[in-house]
Amino acid sequence: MPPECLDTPIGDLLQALRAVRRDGEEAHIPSETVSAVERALSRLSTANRDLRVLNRLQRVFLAVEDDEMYSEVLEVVLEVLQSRVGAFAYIDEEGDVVCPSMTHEVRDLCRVRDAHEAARFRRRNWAGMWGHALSARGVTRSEGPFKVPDGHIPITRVMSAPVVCRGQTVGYFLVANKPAEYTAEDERTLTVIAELVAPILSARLVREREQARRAVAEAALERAVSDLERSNKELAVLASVAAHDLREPLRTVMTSVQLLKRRHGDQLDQRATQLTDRAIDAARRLGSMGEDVLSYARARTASLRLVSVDAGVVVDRVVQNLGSQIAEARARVTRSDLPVLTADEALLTRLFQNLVSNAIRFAGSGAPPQVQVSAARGEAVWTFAVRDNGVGIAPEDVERIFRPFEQVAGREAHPGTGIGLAICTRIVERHGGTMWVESAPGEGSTFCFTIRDHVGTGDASDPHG
Amino acid sequence: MEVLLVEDDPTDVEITLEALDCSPFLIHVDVVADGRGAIERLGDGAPERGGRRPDLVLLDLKLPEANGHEVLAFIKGQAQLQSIPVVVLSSSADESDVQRSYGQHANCYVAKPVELDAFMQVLRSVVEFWFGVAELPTNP
Repeated sequence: MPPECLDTPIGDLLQALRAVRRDGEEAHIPSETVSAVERALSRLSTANRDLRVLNRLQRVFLAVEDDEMYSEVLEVVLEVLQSRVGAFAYIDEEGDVVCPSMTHEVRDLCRVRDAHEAARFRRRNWAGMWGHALSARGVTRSEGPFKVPDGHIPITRVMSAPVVCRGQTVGYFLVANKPAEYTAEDERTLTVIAELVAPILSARLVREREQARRAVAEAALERAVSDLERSNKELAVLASVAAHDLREPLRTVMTSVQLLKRRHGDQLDQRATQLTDRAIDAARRLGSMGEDVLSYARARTASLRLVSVDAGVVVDRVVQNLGSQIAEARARVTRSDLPVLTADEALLTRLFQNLVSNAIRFAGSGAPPQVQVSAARGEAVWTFAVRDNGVGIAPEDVERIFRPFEQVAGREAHPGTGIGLAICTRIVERHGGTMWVESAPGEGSTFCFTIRDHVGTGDASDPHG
Repeated sequence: MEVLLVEDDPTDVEITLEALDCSPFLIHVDVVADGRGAIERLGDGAPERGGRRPDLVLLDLKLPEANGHEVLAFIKGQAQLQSIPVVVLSSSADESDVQRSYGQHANCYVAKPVELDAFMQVLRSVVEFWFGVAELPTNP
């Protein structure tokens, strides 16, 4: 039953009681009994008034937008306490008092405003009426007149109450200029209101601070992403310029030295021949480095063209591409059934080509290289393994081999630019996977990587289908 | 057969001359080392006004004065010259250079190989194709 419905019966009862008191002697009702009933009714009336105020406030909290909540609450409080002016403020993280609501006549005098047009009182400036209200632990009532700054509306009397949640003051109510004195009853009403508001205001402040922090974090993340995108683009441009522009002087070096050898080879002694060969070798290495840097930049930055790719077909093509290297090393490259994946075909080809080529290059000195490519189904991922019977990798070198331009074994024995595995890692990461190696010196290496299975098991059952 | 070689790198000029020398075709090579020179040499393609109308143009892209793209635009913009096959020979394999050249109606784009033997082989193939396989346009 809404509290309003009780007003009439309570009023009727009080009126009846008055009649009883008047006629009490005839009815032989002791006046103490009448007084007791009267007191009970008065308490009921007060409780009913409180309930009505709380009901109105609840409606404000439930229905009113965040920005308007403070002034709506203040309106109810001013009405209930018959006050002309007042404020409902919260304490922000710096400890400053912020008044999103304040009766206009007072608010217009306030000089310091924040972005939301809310009056703000710095903690260090707390003084006078506010200072008194803010430093009090409970409800205070004071009678004026008060000394106020020039132009400030005259304050005749003030009542204030802190809003305390779990021992911490989170806000304040301040009402002033009631035509009559503030009573103990008013004090009690304001206390009840402050108690009701406390948990709601506290939760709201926590939520707002959380939102603000999240907004800051999101903005920072957005900035970081756009920085990364820009630097990736710059890297791609730089790598492309470096690779293409390097190629021109590189060609001149290469063709000039080769032309020298071809035209004047018979005039060169053994030492001179050795030197020209060394120059040609170095130029070749420089050339592949340029190409690898370009591939690396592409693996990092090129947009993925995701299509359905049969990994088996890719590996077969890689074996074909590496035909001369495989023949020269008398290597044997085999594969098990491999799945169909959603991947960038060019990058996947590059990935397998680098791994198979590495496996052959780092063969042991004894038996011919054997390379086995296989795949195992995991949870939503495929784990691929490229296994060789080569020299293997010492545990202390494992991390280094994935860094660009780092090589572990001697260059003569295993020629390469040292960027191949860095390219592989990037390609795997671009596909949402990870890459690692399982190896020990003399026992061969198994390079493993995961690729997310976008397609599903159905498509993967027949790798040649 | 008349070939106009527009190339500023002396090593590449030497290699090209050697490759063309060894071909079974009787080829006269006219060498120009910059873009402006090439445009002047071609003129409007009419010999009576001092112009030249070669059977094939081998065009480098990175050239002093006017670059290869400008020379290409000039050739393909002249009524007397536009039917001459132009083979772009560039050290760049950059996709944008390839696209742009074909967009300007280059007849063929070849990225010069880094290795001498491969480059000579490419030159021989180009000559063999244009003079041995393809039909060339007659003077308009």
